[in-house]
Amino acid sequence: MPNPPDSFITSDSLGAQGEAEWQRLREQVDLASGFWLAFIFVSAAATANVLFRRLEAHLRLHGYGIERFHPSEPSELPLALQALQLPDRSNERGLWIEAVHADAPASSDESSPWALAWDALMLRTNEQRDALRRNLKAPLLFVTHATIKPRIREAAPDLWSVRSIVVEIAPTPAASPLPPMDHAELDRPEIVVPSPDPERALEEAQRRLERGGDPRSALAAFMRAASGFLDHARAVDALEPARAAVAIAEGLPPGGHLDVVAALQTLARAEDESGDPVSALDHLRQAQAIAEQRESGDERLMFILGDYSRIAFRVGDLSTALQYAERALTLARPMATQSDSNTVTNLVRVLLLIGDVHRDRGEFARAQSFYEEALSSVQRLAAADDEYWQQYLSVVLSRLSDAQRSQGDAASALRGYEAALKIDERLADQDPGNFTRLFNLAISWYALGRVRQAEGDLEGAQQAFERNLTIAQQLVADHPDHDGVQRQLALGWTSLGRIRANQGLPEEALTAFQNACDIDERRVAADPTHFNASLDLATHLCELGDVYLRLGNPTIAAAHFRRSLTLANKLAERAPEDYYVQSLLTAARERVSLVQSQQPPPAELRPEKS
Amino acid sequence: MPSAAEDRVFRQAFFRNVTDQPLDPAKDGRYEPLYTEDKLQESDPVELMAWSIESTPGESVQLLSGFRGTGKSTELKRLKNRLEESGYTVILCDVEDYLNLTTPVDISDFLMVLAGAFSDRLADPGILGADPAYETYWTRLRNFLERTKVQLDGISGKVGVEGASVDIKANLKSDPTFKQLLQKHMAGHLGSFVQDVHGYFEDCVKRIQEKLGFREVVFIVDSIEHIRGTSINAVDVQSSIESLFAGQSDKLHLPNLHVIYTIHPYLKVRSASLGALYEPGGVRVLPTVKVRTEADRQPFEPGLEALVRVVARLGDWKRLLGDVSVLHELILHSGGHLRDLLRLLAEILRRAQSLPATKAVVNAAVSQIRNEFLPIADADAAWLARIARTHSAALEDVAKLPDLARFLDTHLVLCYWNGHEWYDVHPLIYTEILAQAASIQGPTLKPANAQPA
Repeated sequence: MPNPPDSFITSDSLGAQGEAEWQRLREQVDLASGFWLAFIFVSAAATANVLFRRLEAHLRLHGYGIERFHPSEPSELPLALQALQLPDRSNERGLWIEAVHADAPASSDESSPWALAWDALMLRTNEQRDALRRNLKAPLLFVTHATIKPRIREAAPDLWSVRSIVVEIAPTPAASPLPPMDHAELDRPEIVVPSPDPERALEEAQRRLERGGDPRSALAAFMRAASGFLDHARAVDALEPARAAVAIAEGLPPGGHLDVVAALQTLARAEDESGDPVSALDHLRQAQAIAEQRESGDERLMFILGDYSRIAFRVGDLSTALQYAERALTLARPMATQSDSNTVTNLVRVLLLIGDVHRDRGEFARAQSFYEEALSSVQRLAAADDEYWQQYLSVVLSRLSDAQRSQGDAASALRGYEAALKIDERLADQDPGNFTRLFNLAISWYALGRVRQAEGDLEGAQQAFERNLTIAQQLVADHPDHDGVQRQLALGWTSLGRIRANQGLPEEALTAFQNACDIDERRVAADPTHFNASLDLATHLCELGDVYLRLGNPTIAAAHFRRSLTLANKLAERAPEDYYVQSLLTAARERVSLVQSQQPPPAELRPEKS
Repeated sequence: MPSAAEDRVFRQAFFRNVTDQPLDPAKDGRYEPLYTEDKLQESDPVELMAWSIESTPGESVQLLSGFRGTGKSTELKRLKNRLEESGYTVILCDVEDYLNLTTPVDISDFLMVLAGAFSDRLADPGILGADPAYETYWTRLRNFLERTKVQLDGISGKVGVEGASVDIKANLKSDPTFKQLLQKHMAGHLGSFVQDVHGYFEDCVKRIQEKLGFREVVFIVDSIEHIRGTSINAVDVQSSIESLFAGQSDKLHLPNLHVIYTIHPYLKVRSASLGALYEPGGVRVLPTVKVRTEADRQPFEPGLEALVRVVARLGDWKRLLGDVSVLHELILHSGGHLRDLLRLLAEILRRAQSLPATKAVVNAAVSQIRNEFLPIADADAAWLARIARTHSAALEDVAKLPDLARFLDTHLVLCYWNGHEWYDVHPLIYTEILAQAASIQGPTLKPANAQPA
């Protein structure tokens, strides 16, 4: 029976570069004697765990023991050396001091507790180096996050000496990519103009049209109607008034804020939201051309370009999405000023969009750079404890953590997810019934669970997934038709499924994955062109197949794998650059090959017995 | 042809020899005199310091500026041996054992530490030993504090009880609040305190001479350059050191003693006339071994040869590396910095599975040590590129002195001597620095001379 792919299993491999570093460390143990130092820089606690296990076993072969000091709070770290001073401690026992924690991104020295804790420990150790050399007859190892490296060198230049070895293990990109998260659209700040009653606005518009007179008056009314329908999530009803507005506006001379460009933008929005992205893109192109011709202003052009990029992104045309988003960014950046939060919102939205495009192309380092820029814009405004900006801060932190985790920097990702979760919990507590806040909270719990799982903290992961599932179930009960909520529920089931699989409970895992697939089937049935729904279904079918394989049922597993591959091929046709699609395609193909190599050929192809 | 097992034994022995702790030049066969060779150094700093002492009967003060990992502590031991052979009693102490290196220092606690450290060393056999009649400085300090009625309420150190000297000594190092409060209280009694400390040193010298016969006493105070502060308070701490040495030099001249203080090289940059306050010795520099010429960065043969001899005392480098050209290449990569040269050798020893080490192994070792310097911030790269181009410290703003100190401490920048001091960026990152600076500033920076190999 073939082994199932390790979609659930935490790997003990360090990657090729990590294995080479392990060989160096092993040589150090074999060549050195007595006291020596090691500075080990990693990006994930899981990597440190693997190294410690191996080192402990290898040191035992040389007759050394080693103990592990693993503080959970920065304040405990500077006390690490006290572990060497316990009265009955043998000098032949090494000490492993580990704190693989990243401080909050883009923070100053004062708010970098782990970095400062390492500074304090290194200064003390540097001072005591002669005493350490004299008294300790075994290795002393410092294990920390890669970002701490420059500080250690500066804080303890004498320690960074000949009798020390520096080991750096580059982050290993996450084996299974996180599904891209779609946070809920954030609550806007106070709306200046209340949303119009669309039915009345439409009646008024038709009346004005019939009456004749200044066409601008009818145009304004049709625009109000279209906007009103859109604000009430009635995109299909918005189409007619929007088309009428375009027709009127095309006949008017240029000038005024209500012109053909604005009408085309509204129409495009209605088309996009009613499931016709192709027409939406056409009309946005038209709007762009007119806006450029008329020199309508950078802000208007920026919005058009941003909308175009967003739609292109959603339909999987990543190259076009990037091209338009980059152009929008060139306009958004100079306009952004801290004194006008709307301009900052515009900038942050574009930065997140570009980051998302790079993310979906698998260019996580690039994505990270844009998320980091968004973070520095948001942090300043969020510091005023404004709830709107706090929400944005949480979203940006989550995105940044996604990118870090995808590059293998689990420690930084964990830090970011925890910070985002803290914000989301506080906001949800302040407004318990608020859909957006609950939805984003569910996402935060899910993301935290995934990184905890990758770091080997299965208990913490389970706790997080259960919280995600609870919230998602509540949201589905209140908003049964909301696709994002359905998705979050499906993700909750799959994450629980993985936990159950790791706990050796394949039957329960099967139930969980089946639940997820059922939800995805309904989402795809409701909208067969829904890209993310198809991607989710294909991914979860693969995982469902893995469980069947584990249960010893390769035939059913094969059926799921083949269906997954079929879906993946279609998605690849549609979005050839999408990183998640490509990952899925690879995974599905591997699984199909695996089961094909193990299953007997069909009856008609079996050789006859002689 | 040695077997793999024999090679392994060889590597292990060589690896264990490659350490960087201070050597005793008189006893350790691994010591190679680097500063006594004319071709390498115009003059021997140890001889110059000894000469300043010998030609100034009674008392003198001088400063030694040395860089980490260049063998300063070893050379101080050589100085100690040299002076003892000439009949001096030499007391060598390390302020790291007494002072917190991360908080500002002022004259009162510095003098306490000097006197306390001196006092502790006097108890060594060969000097006063365990003489019950001998009053330690910590006891004397306690008496002074009681006499001047300095109120220590609220300070964690206990004074006035048996064994209190241990508390003051420990608290000076470990309790910044105690030190701060003590500094504040002592400010009002500074004159009498300094007099008391100087009086103590005079008494000690008399006692030494009573016991050991008439001989002059030399007091060497090491590791003052390690007082740097942290990333948060480096400016304050370094300012305090500057104030101490530039503003309180009279109090650092101890009666009837020849004193040598080690200082951080940045102090010379900050106070160009510092040497004048410490005549006749002034400020001596222990530079990095020169392995390239200043003018055109060509290999400097005497430096290469000297370091080949250093390595030869540690192990059979020919068996490890094969040709001397490989060793020369490593020496050039190290910039003459002993510690970095030994790190390169250690890395090759770790990686070499066959001997002599292959080119790939040597290159991998060089890359490894290079990577340990990285990453370098853009702002630092720009400054380092200026240093590479001008061979000066290129300090544009005194507020940036802590950064210069950081460059020197982490040997991103090395200091050489050519009759004058000159600076260069560490060869392992030279090319990277120039490329990084060019990418920030545009391709206006050209390397001064040939690139390292």
